[in-house]
This record gives sequence, C-alpha cells and structure tokens, in this order.
Amino acid sequence: MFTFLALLLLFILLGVSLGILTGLIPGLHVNTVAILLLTATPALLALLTPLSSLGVDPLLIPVLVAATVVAVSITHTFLDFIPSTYLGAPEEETALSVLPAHSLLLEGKGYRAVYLSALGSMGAIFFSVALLLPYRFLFGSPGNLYYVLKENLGMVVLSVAILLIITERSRVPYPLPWDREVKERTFSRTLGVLTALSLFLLSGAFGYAIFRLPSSSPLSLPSSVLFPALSGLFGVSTLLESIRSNPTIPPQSENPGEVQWGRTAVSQFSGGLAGSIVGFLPGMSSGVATVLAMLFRKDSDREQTIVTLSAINTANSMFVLAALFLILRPRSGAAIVVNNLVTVEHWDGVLPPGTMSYLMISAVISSSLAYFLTLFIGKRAARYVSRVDYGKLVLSIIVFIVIMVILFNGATGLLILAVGTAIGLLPIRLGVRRSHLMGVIMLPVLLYIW
Amino acid sequence: MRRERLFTSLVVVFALLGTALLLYLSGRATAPEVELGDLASFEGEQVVVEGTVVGTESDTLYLYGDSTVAKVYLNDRVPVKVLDRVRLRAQVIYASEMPALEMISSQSFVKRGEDTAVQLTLPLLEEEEGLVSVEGVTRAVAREGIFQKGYIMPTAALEEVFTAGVPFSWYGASEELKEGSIVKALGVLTQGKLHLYGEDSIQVEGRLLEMELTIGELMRRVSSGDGDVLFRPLNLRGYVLYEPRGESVYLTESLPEGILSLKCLLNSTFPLHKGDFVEVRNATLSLDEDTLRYTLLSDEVEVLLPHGPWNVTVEGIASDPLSFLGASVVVEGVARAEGDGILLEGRSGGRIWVVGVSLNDGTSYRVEGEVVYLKERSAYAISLEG
Repeated sequence: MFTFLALLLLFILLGVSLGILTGLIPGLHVNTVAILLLTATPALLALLTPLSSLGVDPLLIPVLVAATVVAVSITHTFLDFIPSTYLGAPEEETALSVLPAHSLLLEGKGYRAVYLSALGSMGAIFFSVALLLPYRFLFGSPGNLYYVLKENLGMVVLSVAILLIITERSRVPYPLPWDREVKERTFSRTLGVLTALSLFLLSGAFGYAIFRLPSSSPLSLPSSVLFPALSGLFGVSTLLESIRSNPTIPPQSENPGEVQWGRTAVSQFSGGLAGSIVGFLPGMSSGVATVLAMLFRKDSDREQTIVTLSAINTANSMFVLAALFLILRPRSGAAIVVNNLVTVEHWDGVLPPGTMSYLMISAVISSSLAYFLTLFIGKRAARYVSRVDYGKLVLSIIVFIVIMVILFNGATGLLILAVGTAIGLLPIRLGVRRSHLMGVIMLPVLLYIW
Repeated sequence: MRRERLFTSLVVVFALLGTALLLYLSGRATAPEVELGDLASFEGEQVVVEGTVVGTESDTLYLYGDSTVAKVYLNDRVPVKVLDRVRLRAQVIYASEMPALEMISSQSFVKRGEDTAVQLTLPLLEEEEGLVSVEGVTRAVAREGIFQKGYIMPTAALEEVFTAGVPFSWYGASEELKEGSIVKALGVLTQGKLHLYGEDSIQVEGRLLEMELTIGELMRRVSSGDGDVLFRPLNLRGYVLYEPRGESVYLTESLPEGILSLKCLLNSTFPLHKGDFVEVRNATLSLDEDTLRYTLLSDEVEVLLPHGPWNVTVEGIASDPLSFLGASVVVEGVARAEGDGILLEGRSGGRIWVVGVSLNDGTSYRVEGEVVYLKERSAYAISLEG
C-alpha cells in the first residue's frame, strides 16, 4: 500500500508538471492532453505493468494514470489565469476574466490579479471537498436534483440568457436626425438592452455556424472550433483594443496587497456553487456558469469578479469528477479519459468508492501545489512583463495566437478567428457588457436541446 | 470621433458579413439529415442519421429507425449501449435491405437520450411492430450461416408446437444459445418475427433443463472404469439425433449436430422425433464386442422437450439428407416446375422435390412436411401428405 501511495504522489507530480504546461501555453487545453493520453493509454498501461512487481495491484495501475489526468485538470485551472492576465490570451473558462485582469495589469497590479485568481481556485477546492457529501445526497439519491435540472435544462439556459440581456445597464448614446451629436438620450437604456440582445444573437449565430463547420488541423492535431472562436471574441479583440489605446505596462508590484476576506469568501462560495452545479449538467460549460454567477452578484467589483471566475473554473473541474461517480456521466475530456481508464463504480453509499477517493486525493494535493506554483510563476512574470515593449508584446502574442490557430484549425480557424475578433470588438466599441458574447455557446445549446 | 465612428461601422459590417459567410459555409459543409429508410438515394454520400441502438459488436452497432435497421461500422470508440438514441454523421457504403454505413468521426457522434422497448408477453395477443423485449425459452434453435434462428416460447407453454412463441432470427450466434435456454431478448419485431442484432441483444440466463449426466461424461467415466456407470442402472439426457428407425435411437449432446452420439436400444417404439430432448431412465450399458461400441439398453424414455418441425434451408437438407430423413421440417423457397413434379428452390440455388401438394411455378412458399426418400426418383423430397 505504501508503494502505491508513493507512486500515486509521483504520478500526481507528473500531472502537475503537465498542468503547468497546459495552463501556461495558450491554445494547449487539458482536453488536448487528455485526448493524447487516451490514445496512448494501451501503450502506457503496458509500460506500467512492471509496477506490479513492486507489489502494486495491477488493477490499481490505471488509477495512477487517472490520477495524473486529474492533477493536469486541476493544475490547469490555477495556471491558465497567468497567460490570460499577462498575455490577454484566454480560454473559454477564463474568457470573461480578461478585461478585469487586464485593467489591473495596466495599473501595475497584474500579480494581484493572479493572486486573487489563485485564492478563488483554492477556495473552490475547500468548498468542493466540504460539500462533496451533501452533493452526493442532493444530486444522487434521494435528492435526484440532477434529473430535475436535466429535464429543465432548456429553461435554465433560456432564463440565464434572458436575465443576462435584460440586466444590461449601459446607456448607449445615439444621434438624432436633427441633432447629430452622439450622446446619451431618453431611450439610451433601451438601446443598451437592444444592443445586448443583438450581440447575443449575433454571437449565437456565429456559434451555430462554427459548430457545424468541420475543423481539422493540417498537422492532425486535436482540433476544436472553440479555440479560434474564443481567442477572437475575448482575446485578440482585447489585445487589438489595447494596442489602439497604446498602453504602457507599468512596473508590476510583486506585493499582492490586502484582501477583503469577507467579500472574497462570498465570491469563492458563489463561484464554487455555480461551477459545481454546471459540472453535472450536459451542454453547460463554466463559461455559462460565469454568466450565472455574475448575474446574481451585486458586487461587480473587478477583483471579486476574478475570484468568482477562478472559483467557478476550479469547482467545475472538481465536480465534473464527482459527477462521473454520482451520475455515471463524463462531462469533460478529462472525465472521459478517466472513465475509459478505470472502473467507475456508482457512488450510492455514504463513503465514496475507493477509486474516487484516490482521485480526490490527487485533486487536493495537486491544487495545493498548483496554488504555490501559480504565485511563484505569477510573481516571476510580473517582474519581467513591464520590461517588455507592450505594443510589441501584444503583437507577438497576436501572431502567436494566429500561428496556433493555423496549426490547430487551419484556414477555417483563421476565418473564425477574424470574424470572432470583429464580433469581440463590438461590445467594447458600443459600451455594453462582453458577457453577452457567451451567446456563442448558449444559443447553440438551446437550439440543440429544442 | 469621426474616425472612431467609421472604424466602429467597419467592424459592424465585417462582423455581420463574416457571420453570414460562416453560416453559408456551415450550411454547405453539413451533411443532409436522412431517415434510415431513405438511404437508398444517398449511396456513397455523407449523411446525418439518427436512430436507436438495437445491438452492438466490438466495432459495429445496429441502428433502428423508420422501420429499418442499418449496420454502422465504427472507426473510433464511442460510449454507447442498447436503447441509446444516437445521432451521427456517416458515409453510406451501400443501401440494400440492411444498409451499411461507416461513421465519419466520433466527434459527430451525439447521444440524444434513451428509448424504451415494449415488453412483450408471450403468446402475442396483438400485432406489434417495432422495438420490443421478450423473455422465454428458446426452442428449435438452428444455425444458418451467420444467423441463429428458432423460437422463443413462453415458459408455461413449451410443448405447444411454436404457435405460442415468436420466431426469432439473430444476426449473430453463440455457443451458449441452445435448446431450452432461458433468454431475454431485445430486438425489432416485424411481421411477427423478432430480429435480433449484435452480441448483447440476447442474454442467456440459464437452461430450463440441465443435461445432468452427459454422453461425454458417461464415456469418460466408462474409460476410467467407473463401476457406477458400468454396472448400475443410470439415467441419461440428450437430444434425439436422427429420426428413430424401429427401436434404436441415437442420442447426442447438443443440436443441431452433436460431436458425440450414443446408440440406444429401446424395448419398444416410442413417439420420438429428431431434436426431442429426452431422458432415458434405468438404462444399462452394453458393449458390442465386435464393434467395441457401447449401447444403452432401456425400456423407459420420456420426452422432456419436444422439438417440433425443424427450420432449415433447402441447402441444409440437401447437404445432409440422411440426418433429416423422416424428420418434420419447415422450409422456404420458390416452387419450380420440373417435368411432372415440383421442386422447391432455396436462396442459394439448392433444390428438393415436393410431393403431396401442387404449387404454382415461380411462387414463394413456406412448406411444412416430412423428409422422405423417393425411390422412383432416387432422390429426397419433402412430403406434405398426411
């Protein structure tokens, strides 16, 4: 047993190392690594068979590989905030966090943004572990909340979308024929809501189109249309806009500053709650959970936004794993790999199945390591980012994203990136919330359900 | 400000035009959605189909929809089980009676929910069509190429000659499925026949009647000089291999043809038929010193499971007519007039004479009769007389 635990720790460390890579490199997603691991599974298991001579039960060897996958997944949710903050290169999970993080970066508080993100993710881990057992009875029997939500999934998503649009508070200025000056007028608020609706529908149409387009990599790499779409909507558009404003990245403080623990705890809780619920539901990503959490938070403070979004991301990864054992459904690429590697026993008692316990150990240990690694790497990045010509840095990042899109998605990906960038510029230009662009996922999900 | 407004306008136009272009391209890239029954017009093309999984094998699944079952070759692992409702993009290989498709990629494979099968109770009281599940005992199980067929009978009505059961045809086969197997089957009921596909469409849950002492075990015990079988009365169960002639009957371990057989001499004639599952009681073994073969001697035999008519093909009888001589068979074929007689032609071109009834040339028939030898023709025939 001791040998197995020692090996488990080793595999967790391997997973953390891989998670650092996937987190820091824009475009390299956990699902990409998960697919590669899944393909290599038979060879991996054959390679690891000699471990049984060390006294390890052969049936537990796949658990070691699954623990690596879990560690990659959890570590990724900590580290992916760093490129999102310093490079403006987000993924779906961090898309809405780019603007608040970027604004902190421009104030010399990039490291504070990373620190808050790490706090949010770590808080989500504590929340997840504490609420695992209550969720067992709520989502599994006798609560069966999963089946209730699944039956009404369409209504849930539609309600979120409607709330998202009608709570748009921006007042969009407009000219009149007899007064050509563009300024806020009587129906500016209504125009703001209509603009939000238009952006939601436009991004929804964009999402509908891209999900039906075949996406293939010229190098046969794993390909997803979401990468160029979200890079355009939330990444490149932000970077282009920042070039236009010609910013200078000030020296970054390596002091994370004071934290308002009370508000932070609320953000961790609300983010963890939203992320945990969507971990169970099909077609609902952490991006949608983000919209949900932000709608119900009256506190639109950008720092608490970062905490909330990071908590959502990490809680989602944890509860996707729990969902695998509670409702026997894999809800992410990493969960699919775990499902194929190990025998997933239904968690219908009080104590979790043995395999699940090992994977939870992996999640907790990797999150602890990832927390400190995030702070360490974030601090190092803060030290050097201000020494770089930001304009050139941004251009290099845009070129890097374009190259990654070509490698992973080919010419189709370039077109998606370009159109996504144009759509992503619209809320910035028109002065409304960028969260309406989540229509790119929500509208196709609604159409799929109905 | 003007430049800003101009830039914003350009961005709006580009966003709208770009989205329109993507919608147009996605429309062209999307394969048409087609019902499984309409695949004939799409041979060689890519289509999107939706259906219910009625059977799976290692790299294949069977989809049911629009009264059609299609075979889908998988080029990737997909998590799927029977009764899942799925949607996928595939290339139509050919669109014959059972269309064949090849899945394009697992990325297009989407699970849309689960269907339910109607639980049937035998005997069938109403005309049912579609996805059904049924429980019962298999009778008259026979193998025909890649198919295994027979009847699923209600446990309470085993001795009724198949009228209370449902005929089944399994696109698959298993050594476990034998005469008297207790089964749960899930498949497609069409015109009163249950079609089963794939490895998991029929589950054998046990045997109604166990073999107890088998011929093989008897022979092993004889070889080892076991006095219990050599010198004491014994009970033996087995299947009647050939239609009995006189008082001698051959028993075998399994149908349709057993490897081991044992001759039994009964003191009188019993109403036994080929395929009947019988128990020979208080039998003794006798060694024929000339042939060095053992024979069972008994005057007590009971039919535990009568077989009934054999579902066979014309070619099956033609390839082993002695095996079926005197047995009651059910055969399908097309009637062909030949001289002053009628031949029944099977699907693979085999032929056998039919006597006792007049059939129309060129018409398909399903006949039930006894296999007889016609001396005047020096050939075997199916007699519908009596």
